[in-house]
Amino acid sequence: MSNLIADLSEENGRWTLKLVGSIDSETHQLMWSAEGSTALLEKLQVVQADSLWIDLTEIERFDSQGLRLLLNAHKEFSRAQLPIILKNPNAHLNRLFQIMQFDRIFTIEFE
Amino acid sequence: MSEQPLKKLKRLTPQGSGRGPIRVLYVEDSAVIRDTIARLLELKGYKVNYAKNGQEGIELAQSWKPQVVLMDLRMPVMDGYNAINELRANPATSHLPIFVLSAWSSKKERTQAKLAGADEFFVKPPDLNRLIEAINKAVE
Repeated sequence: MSNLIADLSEENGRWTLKLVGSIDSETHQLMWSAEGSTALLEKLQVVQADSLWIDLTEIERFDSQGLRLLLNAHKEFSRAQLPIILKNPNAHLNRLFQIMQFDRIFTIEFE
Repeated sequence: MSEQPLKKLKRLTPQGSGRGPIRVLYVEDSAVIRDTIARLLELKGYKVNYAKNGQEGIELAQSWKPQVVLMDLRMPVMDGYNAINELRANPATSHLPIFVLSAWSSKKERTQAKLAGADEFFVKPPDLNRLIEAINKAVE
């Protein structure tokens, strides 16, 4: 059974959503917490965040549900001019992002 | 409100002779591929609508009146070959530029697509700059 933990935190003005576990058909609805991406976006706007980092360091499995989720978030957050930065995808996930041309949509950073 | 700029892509105009955004119909059964290509094109200023199979694509080509059709080949209900044939047989849609986007790139696939009436063939995932250039050229 898949599991996903999503933890939003702030450090030195950088807002990071750290994801641990799997994003697939069983867990994708947990990514933004029960309130959904719109609630997260509103929260980030209230605190005047200038971007959202999504930390993928500890992602074990990421399927097409995860890709669609990111695309929908990009659409929603772009309207609010809040860029999403994808942090530390593993080699497999980074390759998937390249194949799907996500590197043309998102900023991908390695730290 | 403007969206964040698309990275790494050459700036190419998506406007078709001053008639507003170019309307692109994408016929593709894979949701994630459809969403990705559609998003990339939307970020470049195109108006994108989609259908999940050839039959839906034919109906939308008639009602929505796209300027370009992007067509997958292997789909449920009606495949891309039959959809292209039907679009070419209908006077209302016979003029439409149709570009095939397929994961299958054999000579046989390319030949069959061309025989059905496709104008161009792109292997998925397509080179976006090349696709955009082809779309813009087709609606000039």
